[in-house]
Amino acid sequence: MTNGSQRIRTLYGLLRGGNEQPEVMNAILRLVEEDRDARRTYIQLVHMEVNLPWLVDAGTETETRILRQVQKEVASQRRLWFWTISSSLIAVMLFVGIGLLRTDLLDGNELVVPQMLAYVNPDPDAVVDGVVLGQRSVVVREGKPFTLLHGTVQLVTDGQSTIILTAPLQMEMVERKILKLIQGDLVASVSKNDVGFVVETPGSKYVDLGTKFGISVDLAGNSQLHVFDGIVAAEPIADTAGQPRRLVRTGESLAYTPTGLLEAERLSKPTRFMAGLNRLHGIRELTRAIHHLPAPPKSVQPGMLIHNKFIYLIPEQRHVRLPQELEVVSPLSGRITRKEDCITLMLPPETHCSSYLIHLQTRDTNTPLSGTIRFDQPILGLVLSTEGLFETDTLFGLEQMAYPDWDTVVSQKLSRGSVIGFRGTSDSGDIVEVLDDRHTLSLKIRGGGANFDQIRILVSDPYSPLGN
Amino acid sequence: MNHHIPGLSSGSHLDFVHLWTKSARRVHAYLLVLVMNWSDAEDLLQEVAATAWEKFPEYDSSRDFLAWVNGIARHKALNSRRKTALSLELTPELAELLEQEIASEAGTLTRQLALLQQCVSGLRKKDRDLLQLRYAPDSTMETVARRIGRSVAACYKAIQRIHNQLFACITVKLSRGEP
Repeated sequence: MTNGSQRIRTLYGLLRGGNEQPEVMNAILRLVEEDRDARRTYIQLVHMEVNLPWLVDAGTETETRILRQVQKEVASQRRLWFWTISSSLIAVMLFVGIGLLRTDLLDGNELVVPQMLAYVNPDPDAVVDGVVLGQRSVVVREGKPFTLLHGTVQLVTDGQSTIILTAPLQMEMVERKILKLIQGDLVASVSKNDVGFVVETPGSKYVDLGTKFGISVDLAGNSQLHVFDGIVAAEPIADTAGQPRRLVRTGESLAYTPTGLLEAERLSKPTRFMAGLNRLHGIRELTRAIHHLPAPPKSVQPGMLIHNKFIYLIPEQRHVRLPQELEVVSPLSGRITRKEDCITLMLPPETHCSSYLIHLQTRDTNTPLSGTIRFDQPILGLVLSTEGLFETDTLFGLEQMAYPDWDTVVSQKLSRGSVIGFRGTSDSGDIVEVLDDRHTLSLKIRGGGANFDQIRILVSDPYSPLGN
Repeated sequence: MNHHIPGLSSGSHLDFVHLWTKSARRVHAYLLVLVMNWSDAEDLLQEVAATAWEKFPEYDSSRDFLAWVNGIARHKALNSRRKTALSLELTPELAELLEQEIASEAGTLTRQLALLQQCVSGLRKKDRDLLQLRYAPDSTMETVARRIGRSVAACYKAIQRIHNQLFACITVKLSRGEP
């Protein structure tokens, strides 16, 4: 290895070791300008770094899962053919059996299995293609129509994008990264593997350029788009429509007729996609005063997010693996109105969970706010105390959101927490209860004054990249 | 190399998606070579995609798509450097030189990718898990540190060690002429 190559590796190590100083960057630029070996090594290092995420990220697990399903299916079909040849009796029975199977799997003597492009996670309430989904997951194949008659389901593509589909909905995966939405609502969070993902509707095409967005198509084929984060490129399908291509950015919306004409006045509010956005964040249902903030606010410090009618629910870290055991309030505590009602529970190390923060601060001290939150996954525990919240901020908090500071809370004699968070007073007037289904949290909280109520909710995370 | 897809009309929407999908990672790498910061490169990549999509009707399909889109990337990277407070010594000439070098190294880089896959498979499970966490969507070194209960500095070191190991593995395989 040449001197230049060795030097660039050292500098690159400094750069990627968290030392992104202009001096280091300029030293790299000077070296690659002067020394060809350094230049080549630098390019190779960067290419390795860019390609690594594609090789190792969680998408591998999804692909493996789909691959396993394909292998299982192929193996079962091989067994089928073996028995067909070896026993005429079994062959006759199998012939009848195959006749009952979907005939489009057979093409002459050759077995054609359309490519699997995505799967739908189990959902007890959903009805897919006329069948209650229950605890099964369903594979979505290339070119096969998919009909969701009831409920909301989570579709995961083999590129690891998550798409929430809301009934009534008809769609088809035309090919990898191309989904044809005939009718219904979807909310998509597109992974980096799937950048360029296309949603085709009767009158328009939407191309993801790295984003979260919602698309709705009505029975007549009118479509509308709302971008929650990033950029989506939109264009009419028919060239004759004479409509220009559009770039739709965060917070913007757009609507097309089935013939590809832009129709701004028909736009509905982005809240139309709220149910899908909730599901994207593992929230199945919200009632009354609970208001989901899908994009984290800058701060949940005292004095921030004051609202007399809303209890805010903010998704925090997902896929957290507990590094050590953690004491929480058990979901089996029942109705909690005072400290003595709490049953504590130690969550073991390595538990995988996702975190959500409840935040309430009002100016109105008289009117309690209430509501329920039903999560997709079971609640593992609650953090209600001031100390517990401070202790878990580092593990579960979001980097972009400022959390209360211990010294400020103490010096200003503020309170943080709920029920047992108020400096030992057990008469906060708050009621917190995890219902028997263990997925639903019921809240009745009295805000007001200088106090602000916060609760951290830890929910099971079976979809962790490392598995559970 | 002509990246035009036969059977599709020039400048069609699907054409763009296919071409972009094929080129995106290379454009990303070029941007990272120029701006060195991962999140800046990702932000710029999105801007490049948006501009390329807008200008796609003007794209001459007889031209190399990657070269065309890299031109947009270079322009964006140089512009962003001007906007930031960082006084980086990235000149248009150096940006072009790096692009030429990438083009001349294309064969090596393709082989490197195949070898990288082999080298990743050869990592210990613990190291693969760590990479998986590091490169999960929206992951940062801080979130990784939180999740595994180690310091950020320790995580940087661990990832750096794995990168070094992988690069050494690729270099050895390349020098042996392994496919």
